Amino acid sequence: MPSTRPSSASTRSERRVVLSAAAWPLDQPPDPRRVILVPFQLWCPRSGDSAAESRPACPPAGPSESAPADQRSGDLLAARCDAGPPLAAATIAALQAAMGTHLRSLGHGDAEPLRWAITAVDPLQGFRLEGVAVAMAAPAPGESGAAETRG
Amino acid sequence: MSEAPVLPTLLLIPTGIGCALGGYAGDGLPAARLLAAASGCLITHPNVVNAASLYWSDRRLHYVEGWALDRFAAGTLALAPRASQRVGVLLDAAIEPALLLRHRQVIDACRSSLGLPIGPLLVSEAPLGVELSLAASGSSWGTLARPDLLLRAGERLRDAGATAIAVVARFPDDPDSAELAAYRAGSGVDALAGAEAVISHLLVRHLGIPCAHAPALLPLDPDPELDPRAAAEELGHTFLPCVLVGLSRAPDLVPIEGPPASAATADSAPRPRRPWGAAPVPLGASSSLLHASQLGAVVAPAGAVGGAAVLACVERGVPLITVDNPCLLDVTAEALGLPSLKARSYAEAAGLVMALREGLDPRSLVRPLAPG
Repeated sequence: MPSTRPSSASTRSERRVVLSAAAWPLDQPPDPRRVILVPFQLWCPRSGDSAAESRPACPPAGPSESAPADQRSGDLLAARCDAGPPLAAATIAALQAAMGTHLRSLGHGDAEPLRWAITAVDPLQGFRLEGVAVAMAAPAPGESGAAETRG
Repeated sequence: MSEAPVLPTLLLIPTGIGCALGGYAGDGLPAARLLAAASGCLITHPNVVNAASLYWSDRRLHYVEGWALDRFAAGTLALAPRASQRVGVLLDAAIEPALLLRHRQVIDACRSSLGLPIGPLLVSEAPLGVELSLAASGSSWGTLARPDLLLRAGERLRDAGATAIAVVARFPDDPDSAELAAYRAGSGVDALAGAEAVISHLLVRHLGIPCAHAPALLPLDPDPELDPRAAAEELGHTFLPCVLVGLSRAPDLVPIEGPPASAATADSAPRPRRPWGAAPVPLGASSSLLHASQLGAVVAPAGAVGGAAVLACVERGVPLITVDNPCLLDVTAEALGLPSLKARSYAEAAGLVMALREGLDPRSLVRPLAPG
């Protein structure tokens, strides 16, 4: 009776197809060695907030003594730029998009917010988001992967 | 006369933001018990009900870690109640031998006195390196120097048969800190809670099975002025018993196939990965599953409605009940433009839940009668 089991070669081939179609974190477990935690904070301006919309897209680089306390914090990567366009409302989709844009600006295009919340609403600055994201560290040269934590 | 059908209700008291009720050592438990009785089915997170050596087991109360709770609220993950879980225990290699022995004895006690299925036990390959911080808002958070060791140890426990995991990480002792003094006096933020949440979120996300965390700390000197809300943490040598009990009856986490119930959340909550826990099932495949589409109410502190779970519930039309419960934050339903029912206490919130469960319009209980 012929075997219905595919040959090991075809199994490997099929597996390659599946893997190439899968987009972590949906289908493939991450390599634990490369997981890093990325704290973040950003302000998302609200649309309809004329003060916010007339504000320059990004404040001067770097925190200053005159900045609000949360932007002087050395604990979190404070920013109110790179959050994308002003939000019409605090919908999850819009907030996720703003966080994604911000994390990409920090060099973590693959990052996924792990724990986050709106922690302030300001009539001028919009919504403040604070959280911690999970990202994958790039393998160090000559290594297959390296553990690292930022923040 | 038959009882009204249960009204699955979500209770959220966010961790590490100093809530006057629920921001301490499991002092949200009375509110959770009341809401479980009012609704017949309450889903809440460990921070609400974990009281170190104290716990309360109630079949109406579902113990779901925060990362999974967010996915449940978004409709990408269902809950499958089960009789028991086999709880594996992951111990941080940084825990000193004497303190480690105390934790092993808690495990022995829960096995012998409560009959809980516990095991295997595993010590991480090296210290996990817990670091604590405060965010700009004043809320606590933290990180790990070696998240890789946490995840690898979790994989080994799961592969060895654990269906849920209790993590005990060695947290930094800071007995003289102003933050700890304020917390013990009943006016501060739980400095450990935010880092605990990061640890458990990371592990649940990676493994897809119920997980919860207990910190390992050296005992503190007795404080005659200790606030009663923090007292549960002074009763024993560890914070582990409540975690073992909670996890022992935690529901399975079941990824759901197909689009979430609300299109608005489709892009928001990353769908749980497939390799873990249970295989994805089509929504409606099993009547025993608890899904977000069945939620009848979500209860949250009035100043802390900006989290993923609350926003997801509101987007799917679940009534939001906000409770006066002072905390560090002032992110109100009004500020976010969210509809809400307001309660001055958790007792009043329980009344609103009962009204919804009975099919009453809560506005009919107030005079003057609001326009329809």
